[in-house]
Amino acid sequence: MQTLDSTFAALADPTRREILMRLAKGESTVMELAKPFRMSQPAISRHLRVLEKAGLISTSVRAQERPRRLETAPLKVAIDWIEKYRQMWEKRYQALDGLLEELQTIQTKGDKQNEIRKRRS
Amino acid sequence: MKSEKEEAKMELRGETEVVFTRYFAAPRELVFDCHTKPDLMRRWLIGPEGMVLDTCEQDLRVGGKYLYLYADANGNKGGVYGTFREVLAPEKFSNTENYVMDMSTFDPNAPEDPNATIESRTFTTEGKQTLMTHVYRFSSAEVRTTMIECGAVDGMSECYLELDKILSTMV
Repeated sequence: MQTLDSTFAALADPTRREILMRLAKGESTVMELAKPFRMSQPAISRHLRVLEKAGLISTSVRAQERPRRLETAPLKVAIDWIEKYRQMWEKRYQALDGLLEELQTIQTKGDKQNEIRKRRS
Repeated sequence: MKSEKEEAKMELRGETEVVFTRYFAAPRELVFDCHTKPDLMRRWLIGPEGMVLDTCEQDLRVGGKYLYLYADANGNKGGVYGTFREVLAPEKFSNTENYVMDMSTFDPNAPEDPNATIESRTFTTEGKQTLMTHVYRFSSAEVRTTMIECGAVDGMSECYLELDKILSTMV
């Protein structure tokens, strides 16, 4: 589970998530990636190294540029786990939706009966 | 038809937190009650894969304890226990969360792990809906990863079944 560890560590940082979002739209060079962050190139390179180590991006060599590309395979493992957990809670919450509806119906009925009683007295 | 809002969202926050958000079409007093009154909790807190909430002990006050045990048809049990750290009805409550792995060695009165997971739920009114924000704060990034790997905090038993399978292929 080494991969999953590094995937989550890589995803824990908002800048790195943003980088992945940008790469999801297509390959980018380091210069292009650094632009929206007002961050120095070494700082961005550090983030890129973390992402690369986690296998979330790859570097292709094209002339002088070295554009980064998004690799989705490790991301999928992480997302699958999160999704499984979310689904368990969602199942519970759907049961709760039903219970809340039932409780509110009972409450409304009770309120109406009280009103009728009030009017009668 | 369900609106898009009524779907649990989950995200990782910082290095150690997992945050769920979910809307409910009911006043927050009611949503709060459903999370804190045992007879209501039993109605919806379904356990992992075929398990039901079997034991639900609650002492809802700061310093009070709780114990929720899930059981399957074969009598296998597992669950969570801890102490309430914050109780502010009907707005918020938070508690430690410890996991019962093995019923034969489980002692509810044993001192709690100082690195226990902290769980908090906040209920806010948004129009006719209630927004619930459910935060798990783990003691470290490693613990969070492990819990997510297991698929569910409450689903530890499922996780161990998987582990058993893996181990059996290795022996």
